[in-house]
Amino acid sequence: MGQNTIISLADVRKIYIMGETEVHALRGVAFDIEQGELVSIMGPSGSGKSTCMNMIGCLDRPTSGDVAINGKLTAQMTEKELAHLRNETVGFVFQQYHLLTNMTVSENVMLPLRYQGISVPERKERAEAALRLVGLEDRLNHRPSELSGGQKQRVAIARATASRPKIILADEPTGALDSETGRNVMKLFREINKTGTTVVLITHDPGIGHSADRCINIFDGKISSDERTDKTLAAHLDEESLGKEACNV
Amino acid sequence: MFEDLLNALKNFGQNRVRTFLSLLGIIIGVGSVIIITTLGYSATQSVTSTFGDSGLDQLQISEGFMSRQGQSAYDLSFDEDFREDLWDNIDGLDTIYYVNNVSSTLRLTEGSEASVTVSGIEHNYLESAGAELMEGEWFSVSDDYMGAQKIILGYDTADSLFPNGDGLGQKIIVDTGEYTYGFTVAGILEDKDSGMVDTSEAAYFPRGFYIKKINANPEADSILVQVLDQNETSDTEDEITDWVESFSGEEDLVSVRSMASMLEKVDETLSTISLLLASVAGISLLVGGIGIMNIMIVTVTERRKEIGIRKALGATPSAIKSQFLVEAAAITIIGGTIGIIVGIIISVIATYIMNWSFNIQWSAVLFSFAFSALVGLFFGYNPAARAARLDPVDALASE
Repeated sequence: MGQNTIISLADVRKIYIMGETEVHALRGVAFDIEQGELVSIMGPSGSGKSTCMNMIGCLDRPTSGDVAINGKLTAQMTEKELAHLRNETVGFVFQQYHLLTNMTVSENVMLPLRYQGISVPERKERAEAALRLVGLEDRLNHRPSELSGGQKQRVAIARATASRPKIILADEPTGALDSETGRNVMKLFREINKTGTTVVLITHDPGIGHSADRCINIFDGKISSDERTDKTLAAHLDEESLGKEACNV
Repeated sequence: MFEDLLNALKNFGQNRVRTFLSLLGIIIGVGSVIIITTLGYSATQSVTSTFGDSGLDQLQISEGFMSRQGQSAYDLSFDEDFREDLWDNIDGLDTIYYVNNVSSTLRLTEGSEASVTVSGIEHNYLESAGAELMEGEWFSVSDDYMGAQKIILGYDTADSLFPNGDGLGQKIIVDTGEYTYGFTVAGILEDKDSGMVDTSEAAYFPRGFYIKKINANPEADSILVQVLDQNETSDTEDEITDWVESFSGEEDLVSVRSMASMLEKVDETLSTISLLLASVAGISLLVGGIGIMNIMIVTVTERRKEIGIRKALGATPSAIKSQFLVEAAAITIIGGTIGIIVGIIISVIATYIMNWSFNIQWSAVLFSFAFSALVGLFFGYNPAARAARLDPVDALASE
């Protein structure tokens, strides 16, 4: 584990007990992700990529092996400690946006800041700034239901970035969007990555997966490949499936 | 905390009917508490203010059930010997007033008339009984001694004979059926319930007149006894009953009544009613609390995803727990407030109907308010703890 390692998984195993059967979701996964990388974790459904995301996002703890996030081992942490680590280190972006429908756009973005104990005026300021970055500064007081899918996802990204986390963890972030909107969202992730934030994309879509700088393939609970994406291929794929804007960012 | 409260209010706003229905138990419970305390307090206040303090040191002795029925073997008479015996045997007496009643017709010379019971009273009787003069003056000692032909009229009696209010100093005729006498109106009483004696439809002349003109050696029809210490009234009442029983060997020979013991009975009745209402309130609050628990469990189940999102964004279990506790407390405080308002409205109406003055105990209102919040916290704890324990991965995955 290097100095700049922000995410480190070492022989991580996760076993779920479902009734009488044991489900081995992860069977000894190991990789390090450096601060500032743009990584995709790719695999078909049931491969264990979601479990992997839960480990990185401190939503779950490994059955055995070590998960270190920002240098902290999660296995022995209490729920409270995990919550704090999540709050300070990870920003989530979900496929279904997961915005709270009874709150306004800016209230949604302020929510993680509230759990950091930040004062209301500063929360407002930072939420506005985050929404400005995703181009939604004119939608502060709208309800999520008044927004399009792409706008909702941009709100979710603003919410993830507002707390200035070291890691943005995105679970199928373009899964519910049309290709044009998806490209814009990917562009946004690249911009965020350029500021030094580690971005981890969880996806089953090779188009999205290969647009990252590094692609970790998971199959049947194990890593099947972990490689830098061929820049030519990435550029080609960008052009083919993600369009020119994504190529130019 | 404050944000949790605002959030809670927003959530209730979205489920108004459901929220209201789940609040009914709390509303009824708190409403009952307010009604009980207000009505109890108002009733006590009204009873005390009606009778005043003036009647509390008095008791009235009259013929008991047995002697009224003529079934008594012992011949008890309220004569002067009885007065002396009473004085000698019972401690703590201040004054003894003998009263005689004559059913009469009061007539004016022009023909206006009223049928009333005219009482022959001893000096100072009306003053002791708590009556007040609207105009005129009381009988003097010499009026009583001389048997002056003066009469004091109760308010209603005076009103029916002299609708114009010019009765004072007028002559009226008292027709006892046997004899007819002329009297001068010496005074007219205030319209006021006073202690043991209802003066409004009565009329009074000096007992000296009764002795002189109607019955030279009279037995009293009733006796009004004033005790020295009003706290001893009830005890004195029992002493007199026991004393009469001891020398006569008969029960129910005399009937002794006092305001104090009547008030005690009123108090007893009120506390029985209060106990009944209190148990209704208690059961309502219990059922209401369970209603709150139920609605909170439903809320937590419905909002699993929200809980998952909040946890993913960094909410600690205790933050989630306090969010739902605040919500439960807020919902019961709303219920409590509605209950207080409903309770006050019903109490105002009830006291109006009962013709009592409305007296509210603000301490009870405050107590109800705090108690409803406590009910929320108590019954909301379990659902809130469930929410706090939810696994974030499961919660996020739920629909």
